[in-house]
Amino acid sequence: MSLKLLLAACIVAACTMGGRAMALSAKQRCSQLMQTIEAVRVLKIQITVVLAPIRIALSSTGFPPFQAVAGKTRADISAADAWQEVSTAKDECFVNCLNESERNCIGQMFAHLGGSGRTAQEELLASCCDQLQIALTDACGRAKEVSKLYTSLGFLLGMCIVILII
Amino acid sequence: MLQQELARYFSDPVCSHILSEDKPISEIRLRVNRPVQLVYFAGGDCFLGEAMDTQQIWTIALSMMGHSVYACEDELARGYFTMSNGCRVGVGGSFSTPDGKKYQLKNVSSLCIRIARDVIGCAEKIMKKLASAELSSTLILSAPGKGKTTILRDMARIYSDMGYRVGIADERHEIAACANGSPSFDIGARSDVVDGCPKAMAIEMLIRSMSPQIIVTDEIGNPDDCRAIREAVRKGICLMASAHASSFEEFECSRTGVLLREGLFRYAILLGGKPGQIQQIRQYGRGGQT
Repeated sequence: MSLKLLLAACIVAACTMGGRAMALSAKQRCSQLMQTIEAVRVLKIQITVVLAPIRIALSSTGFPPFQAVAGKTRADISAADAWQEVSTAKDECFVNCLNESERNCIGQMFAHLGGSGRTAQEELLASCCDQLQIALTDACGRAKEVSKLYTSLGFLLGMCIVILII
Repeated sequence: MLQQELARYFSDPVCSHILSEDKPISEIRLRVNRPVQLVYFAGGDCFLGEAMDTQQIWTIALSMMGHSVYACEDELARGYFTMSNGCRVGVGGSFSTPDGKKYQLKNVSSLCIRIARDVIGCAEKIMKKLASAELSSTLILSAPGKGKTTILRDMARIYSDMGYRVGIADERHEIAACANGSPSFDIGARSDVVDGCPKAMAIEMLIRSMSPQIIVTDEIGNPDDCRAIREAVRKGICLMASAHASSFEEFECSRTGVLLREGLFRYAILLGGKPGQIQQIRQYGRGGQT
């Protein structure tokens, strides 16, 4: 009997933790979006005010994915190619919680980064910031909604499994 | 070596040819629908590879700008940009003014990559000829590609190593070729560089902040430069400058010719023939040639 109780407790705890992990990933998406927006803002200053070359501008953001892009950008590798490489490499991807559209937005920014004058770059980075800001508002709202919901659902799922088994 | 460094911007057979080339190259020229032209330092040229289209030339230009067009925007509007290694790239193509004020490059049709060269000791011959008890302002004149900048760079190095405080007003990043603030060439231990801004402004900044004994600047040519040079000489600073002219008379008739007539430069040196070869040296005083 005590073994059954122990097993039940373990199942409930595991499901609750699973639900909590899902809730945390929603929170992490918010945090990654916030970091990305901050990095794009710094990048905008570096490019339009400091006029730093792209590698230095990306390094100065202090954001690991952008720093990784800076490290891979060379004469024959553009920032867009470097981003492609960084965003698909599993060990180097720090933006793994972002969804497809957010990654595309950053990819689009990199595709045109450095290829035009100051005004066009300012517009490009501002537009990227705006899109990510919209995604952040959405992500934060969603994170609030699901943080308790997923934990509770995990607990309930655990209970259901226990009842079914026992 | 710069020549080898530049090769990586090209694909084969141009890349391999540059890498295996023994003769020093002074220019690499790219033109739409034409093969790549290599111009040799000692004279002569050769054409390599297949004809390039505008997109290929732009891709090469973009990588030479470090994928940072915005950082070279002002230079591009004046028809050139400077690479981080000090090589100046002349740009030919179509320009437009979308806002009616600033010119922007619309299409690139040709590039002229001038390979900057550090020739240690090339100014020694000139300095021996000018040797006098006191430091004298000197102007170097020549047609393009005759080694004015190379000689100025070496003069800066020599004077700096002799113990003088040297200020370099390097508008086009050609003398010191600073990359992220660090000079790519040997300009001496006592040299300070202000680059990327108009020469007149750089000279004023150097005077105000670095108290140089000698100021070195390249390709003087507008009234603002004259005003800044007058101010520097009035403050007792010695000027080492260069200008485009194929004869003394041609320079004297130019907008900046007044500098020689006013005696602001004691010596004017005309380069000709081979790069760095002295054709004639003239001494000037107030009122002109003495």
